[in-house]
Amino acid sequence: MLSDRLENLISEHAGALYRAALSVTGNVHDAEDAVQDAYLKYLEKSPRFTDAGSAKAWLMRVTVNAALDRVRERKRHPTEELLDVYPAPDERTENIMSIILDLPANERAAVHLFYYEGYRTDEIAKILRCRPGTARSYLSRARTHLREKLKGEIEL
Amino acid sequence: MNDYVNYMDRLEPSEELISRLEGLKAPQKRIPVYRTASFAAALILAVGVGGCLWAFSPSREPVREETGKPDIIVEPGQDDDYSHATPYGGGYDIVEDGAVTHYTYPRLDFADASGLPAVALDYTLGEENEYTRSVTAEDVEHIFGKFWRERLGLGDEWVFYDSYGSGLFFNSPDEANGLSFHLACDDGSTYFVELLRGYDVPSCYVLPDDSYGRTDVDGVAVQILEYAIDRRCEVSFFAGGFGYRVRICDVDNYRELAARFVGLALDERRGLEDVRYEYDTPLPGEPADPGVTITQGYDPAK
Repeated sequence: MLSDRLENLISEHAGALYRAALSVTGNVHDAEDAVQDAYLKYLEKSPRFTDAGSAKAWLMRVTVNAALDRVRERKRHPTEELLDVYPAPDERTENIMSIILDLPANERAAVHLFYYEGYRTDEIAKILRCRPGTARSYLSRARTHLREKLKGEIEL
Repeated sequence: MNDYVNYMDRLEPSEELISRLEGLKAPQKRIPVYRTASFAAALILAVGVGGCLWAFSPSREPVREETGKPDIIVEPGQDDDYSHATPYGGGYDIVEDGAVTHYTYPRLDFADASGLPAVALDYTLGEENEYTRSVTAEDVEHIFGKFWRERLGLGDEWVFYDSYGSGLFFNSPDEANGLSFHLACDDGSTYFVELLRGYDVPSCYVLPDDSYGRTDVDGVAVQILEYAIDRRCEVSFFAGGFGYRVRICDVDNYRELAARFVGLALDERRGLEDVRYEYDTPLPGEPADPGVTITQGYDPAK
């Protein structure tokens, strides 16, 4: 049953999708909407997956792209920021999160997918629907930016 | 990045969101072709007048009856299985039945002001008996800027992409075979164009969520691939002796930009000749060397 599969996919992946959407949008409401968009898309398309990994990759791709859409919308409708809702536990983390959230959305997405989800750059490229070189470029720029801002305080 | 990982570990979706998700019901299915069909209609409208002029031009070249079909169609459920096709590097490499390279570009690598790698492609900028040399972002701007950006009506926010970016490829001084270039905005919008003389640009790469269709614009068969989620489209066709493909991603008015590109190609029939005209003027301090022979390149026999 589709509803059973949906329930399984929610319990297995909603957390990861939510965090990825948060990393891209930087705010809770847009992230929730992006995750909802992804599951709606799943219901609409009813794709069949060969394993849990491919299901997650499909949902991740739709979520991240929906989140990127929200970011573009947000330029016109600013909303509450992530760190206001989920304060960082310490000053250092607050600093790092602020710098990451200050990156362009595509670079934030690449950083999250690489460092948190552990995807390779070719997998990130598929999720972001860009060329692998572009994904590597996103990561490279983000790292450069982080190194400059943190002046060697962080290992990448 | 442990701080980042630890911070993200704390973030969990609210119970309210989980309830919303569990309460979702499948929406009524849309028929994807409608989206493509409306795009096709807009495209025909956008280029209609110019296309008619082109159609009655005395110098019009014969229209091929059949343009290319999608190279690869990924069926639903195979979404995780398209790593065998790599949609970059000038074509698709298909390894199922052995490697097939549609065409490749000689590369000139350079670093822009920020030190990031970037690519320009133009063999005559190479040193003698070499295919590559270091070129600058200014070189790339010189080659492409005056022609394409102006004619495509792209604003100043569009810049030549500084990584895996702009490309220009000539097989010989008399035979300009292909060209590609890549523009981008700071917000991640991209615009990627490829041209091949005499051949379809390898196209398309159709994923399950994509809307794919074909339409006829004044005798020219135009393939349209659209993915509305991330506002991406790909349009390819063969006209005036050239295969064209443009990919536009993350742009609100992607349909308008695609239609404008088709209009430019069909109305003005601008191809590589224009680029060669600009190119024939050597860059300052960089004399062109027509004696260089390129062994890499598009080989229709492969």
